[in-house]
Amino acid sequence: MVDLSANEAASLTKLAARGAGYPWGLCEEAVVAARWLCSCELSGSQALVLLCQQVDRQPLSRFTPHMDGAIWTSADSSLCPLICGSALCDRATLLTGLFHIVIKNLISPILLLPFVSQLSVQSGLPVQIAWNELVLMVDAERMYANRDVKEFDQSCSLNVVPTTVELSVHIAPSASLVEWSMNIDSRQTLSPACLQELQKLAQRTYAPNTEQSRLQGAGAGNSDNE
Amino acid sequence: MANRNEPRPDHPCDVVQRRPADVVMRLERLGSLHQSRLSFMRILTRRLQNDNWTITHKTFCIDETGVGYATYSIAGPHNTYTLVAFAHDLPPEQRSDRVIATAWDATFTLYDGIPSEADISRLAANVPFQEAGRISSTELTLARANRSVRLWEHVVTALAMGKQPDKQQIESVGYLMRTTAVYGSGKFGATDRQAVADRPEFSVPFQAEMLTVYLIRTFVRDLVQHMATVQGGPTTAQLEPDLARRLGIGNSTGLGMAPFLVNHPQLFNNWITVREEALVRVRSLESVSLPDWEVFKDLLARTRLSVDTWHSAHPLQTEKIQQLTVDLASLDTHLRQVEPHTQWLWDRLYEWSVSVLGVEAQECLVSLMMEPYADLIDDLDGCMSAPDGTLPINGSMPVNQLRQLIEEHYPWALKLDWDTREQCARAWYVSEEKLEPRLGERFEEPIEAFEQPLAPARDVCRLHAALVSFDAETVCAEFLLRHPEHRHAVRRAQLINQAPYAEIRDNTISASLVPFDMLRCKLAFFGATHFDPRSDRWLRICLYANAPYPDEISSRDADTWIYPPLH
Repeated sequence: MVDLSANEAASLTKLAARGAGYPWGLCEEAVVAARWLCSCELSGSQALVLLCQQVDRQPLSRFTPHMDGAIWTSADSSLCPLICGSALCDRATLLTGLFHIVIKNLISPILLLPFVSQLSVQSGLPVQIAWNELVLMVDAERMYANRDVKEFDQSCSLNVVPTTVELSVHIAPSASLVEWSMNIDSRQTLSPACLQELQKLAQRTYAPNTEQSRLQGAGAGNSDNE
Repeated sequence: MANRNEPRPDHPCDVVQRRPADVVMRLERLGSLHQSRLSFMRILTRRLQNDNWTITHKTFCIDETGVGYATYSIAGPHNTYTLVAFAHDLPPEQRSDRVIATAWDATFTLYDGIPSEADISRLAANVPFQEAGRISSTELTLARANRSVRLWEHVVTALAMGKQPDKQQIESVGYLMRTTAVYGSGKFGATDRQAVADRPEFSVPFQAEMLTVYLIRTFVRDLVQHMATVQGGPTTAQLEPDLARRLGIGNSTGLGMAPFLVNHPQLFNNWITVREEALVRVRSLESVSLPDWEVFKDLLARTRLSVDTWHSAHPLQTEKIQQLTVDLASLDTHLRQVEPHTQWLWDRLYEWSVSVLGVEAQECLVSLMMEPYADLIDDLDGCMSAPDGTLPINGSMPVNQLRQLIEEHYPWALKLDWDTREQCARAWYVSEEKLEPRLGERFEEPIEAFEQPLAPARDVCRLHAALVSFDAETVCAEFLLRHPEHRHAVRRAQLINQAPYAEIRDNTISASLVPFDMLRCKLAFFGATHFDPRSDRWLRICLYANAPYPDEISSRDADTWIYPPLH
């Protein structure tokens, strides 16, 4: 496994998302998401790779939700958690009362969790997210789930098929939920294969070297032997 | 005496306000900033003295060819940090200040604690390779430096012959080594800033980097003495402390620093706000005590001396230095006619400077006016950080309100014709060659597809144009669902409403952009002096010249050392 600092992981996330074709504003959201996942000790990197590989510079409109009341769907593809998550948070102060939103066919749902947390903080509402067998509840900055972090993480990584996710306001944590803690000092551990995939995506954002670029781009010569 | 910011009926203006962002955030002014008592370097040396930081442990294992390692451990009230320095034998043809270099005269890391032998071995296998190596969560920074060949040889030769080096030569170069990168905050595996930000010594930005450079300067002094002794044997002269103190550490800075100011708008806003608030506090003083007036005049004289030894071959900088020299002489003359008991003296002096002096001298005066007022100003250093993270977007804001925000804060940008080649002639990008940040010609090179988001003014104008086709009451959330490409610009436009100094109010991709203005601005906050642009996109500076070394910091001036002594 490879150990990255939180800032390295953030920077790599931003560039990988950019390499997959996301506009910079959504790349910034990906960074916020990566930092949050990192501080929960959830491994979002593999999920990000999966997402980037599916989006892969296609028009983002394909992965953008059509909102039919509380049902979010995509006309001809799966939904992107960065786009859906950003749309949720953008609506944080517009969502009132006991909302219930169903997001269908969502790629890498683990990447939606940071946005759910942000939504809870911004709206002041306790929010529950559930898919497959997994349930997470966020109330301001406290989190409760039906698995501990490790089990939750493993369940997410086993399931790579787009899934329907349900979001709702939840008033009180169930006694059977486990509280998660956050560690803002966390670093990121990821597999060499995952690192390589992210680096490959990031590589797309670097301009090929040319002689003109080398000579003029930095405004400096190659030797400073003085 | 009236309190700051209280109405002053007997004064021409009611209450001193912070200067408008439209004045402060122009590149011409940002590129004319000077160090001040709020510079990161001076905040560090004051702390080192106030908290009795001392060198507790030192090793120096460097052979006769100048190859080996050394460590310097410095301890404060709660923590100890160790500079681990590796000295190398660098072939002259490999000596390059650029990011694309792969070897250096010396390489460094700042270790969190006292390293074991195993740590030294691990670091020896990584630090000399810089970006190609890995450091870990026990390291705070990674840095490298190259010799100033000319001064290095002069100093070694002179000392080896039993003589002191020539003071003029020392002052004309200013340093024996210049750092060509000082990486911190998680780079290449180092610890993240947020992991140590709760330590008092790191509450102010860039303190680990400033400490690294401060200790590098000590190492360089010791290394030059060692090399002279190797050459000269027992009759080698010891470098006189007064001469050694004149030596700073150079730094060669390229375009990598420019994006920082654009990429950290909240942090940049806080730095400028603190400086502007300090100016307000001084201008709001009704009277000036004679001792404070004398401090100011003394430091002006020392500033003039420093400017006299500030050399640059770059025509733009040469002109600025000449104008600054003339303006500081005018200021001196003006002060002779000023009665120090004049009411609202500082405010009058500032207003006088705006009407008479150039921007470079105005900003120099701003820094000087702060000098006598440690008690009034120094507590502002606690406001120079910013929380990590990205500002959430207010999606409920109607698009007409967003449009108004843009019209209020970016009128200068909306006036530009972004369809002309001149306004968007340049593009910022990162080269695949060692990820060197570069600036290219958009219409002449195949770089646009790789453009970094460093043209906020253009992007906000594009956003403004896109908003026109939406109903006034449509909320940003709806707009962004259809136009995610404007998300970055929406965030900036909403931020600037809360943080007026967050944005450089100039076109960062125009044909007439002078990138070194951006570099200088950041370096001035570090505390750099003697800015010497080598082209429009990189410059050399000097750090810590005249600063006390760690072994004398408790007994010497740890604050205003940055102004050279008059004698």
